[in-house]
Amino acid sequence: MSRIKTILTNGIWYENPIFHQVLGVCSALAVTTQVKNAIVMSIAVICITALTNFTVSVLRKIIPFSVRLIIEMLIISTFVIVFDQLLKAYYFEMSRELGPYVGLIITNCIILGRSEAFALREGPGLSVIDGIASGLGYTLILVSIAAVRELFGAGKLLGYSIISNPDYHARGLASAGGAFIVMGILIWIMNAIRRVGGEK
Amino acid sequence: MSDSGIKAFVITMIVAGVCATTLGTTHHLVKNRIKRNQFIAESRALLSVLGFKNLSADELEGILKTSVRKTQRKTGVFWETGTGKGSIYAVPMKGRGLWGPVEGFLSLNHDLTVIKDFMITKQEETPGLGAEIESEAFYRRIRGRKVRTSASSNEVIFKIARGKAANNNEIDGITGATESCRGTQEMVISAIKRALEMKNVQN
Repeated sequence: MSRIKTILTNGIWYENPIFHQVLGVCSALAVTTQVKNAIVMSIAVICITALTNFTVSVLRKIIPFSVRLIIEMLIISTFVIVFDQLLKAYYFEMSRELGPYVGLIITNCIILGRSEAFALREGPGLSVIDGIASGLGYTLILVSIAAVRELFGAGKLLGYSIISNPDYHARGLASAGGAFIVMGILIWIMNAIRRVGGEK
Repeated sequence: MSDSGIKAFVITMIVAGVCATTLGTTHHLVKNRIKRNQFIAESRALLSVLGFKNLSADELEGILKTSVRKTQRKTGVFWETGTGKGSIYAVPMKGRGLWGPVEGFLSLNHDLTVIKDFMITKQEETPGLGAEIESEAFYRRIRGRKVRTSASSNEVIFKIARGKAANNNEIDGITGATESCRGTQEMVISAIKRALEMKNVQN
């Protein structure tokens, strides 16, 4: 049980993929203009990381070491393309909003990183938990950045108007440059909290 | 090849086969749904430039059948709605941006002298830069523009500036997206040209 707890706290906090390992930053900047987009993207990453970790873990004893990267990439690509197709079929508007970024999950280092660092060594059950934990870590950051950008950039949250002045619009925050600044400040805050709370 | 090399090859091939089958099956299962979604998105854009906004998927098909006349010619296709001075023409646009094809619809007023509306339906431009051609802010710059042709050569004059528009013949461009703007400009010019040609044939 404590093992599971360690995996979860590591993925979400101590070894957060974006803050601690600085992986998956490209998509974190691109899809965080709205909380809704960030949530769908996060669900995609959680599902794909968990499924990839599970599959790699099940196959870990028969995957030859020399071709493991090829096989991991095959598995990741398959899950990503399936998810992309399902999104196009059942949530077309969202798939247009997210544009190329769902497909680009294939190149998201979090997923390959977790299957290399964890799934190749551990059993399927723990690997699924590790995948979900890393995905949740990604979600935490994505939704935080998106909330700041949507609230202060467009005056809305999840599409509902919060700042009622209709002329309110901070284009700087809605742009990719604004995302960099928000992310920098968030990394700073989280690292400060981590330091006060004491290193693990 | 050593034994382990053969083993690695065989296992990779098996995994690749399973992955390919999964992808093929998924595609087969959802392809009709995706096609329908694309059709709805296209129809919605077409009807939007013709002045029918915010329609549900069911309303779309009805209006396409009852209120819109489609004319297919050798040089292309156009759609028409309304009568007399209230009629609007729409033509499809196809062009190339920086990364890939750009498509959309353009509509003109009854005598093809003013751009009524403009909408992009497909583009793969850089998000945040060229992809801004698909945004309300950019559409607004094109809406309501007079169609100008040069007196001598009958060429359509429409220019997306690099940065701010310098004169009346130009509209504001998108800084950092020169190629996307150039592609869009060519696409708009050729769409208007085609509309003018087709209208001339009609009269």
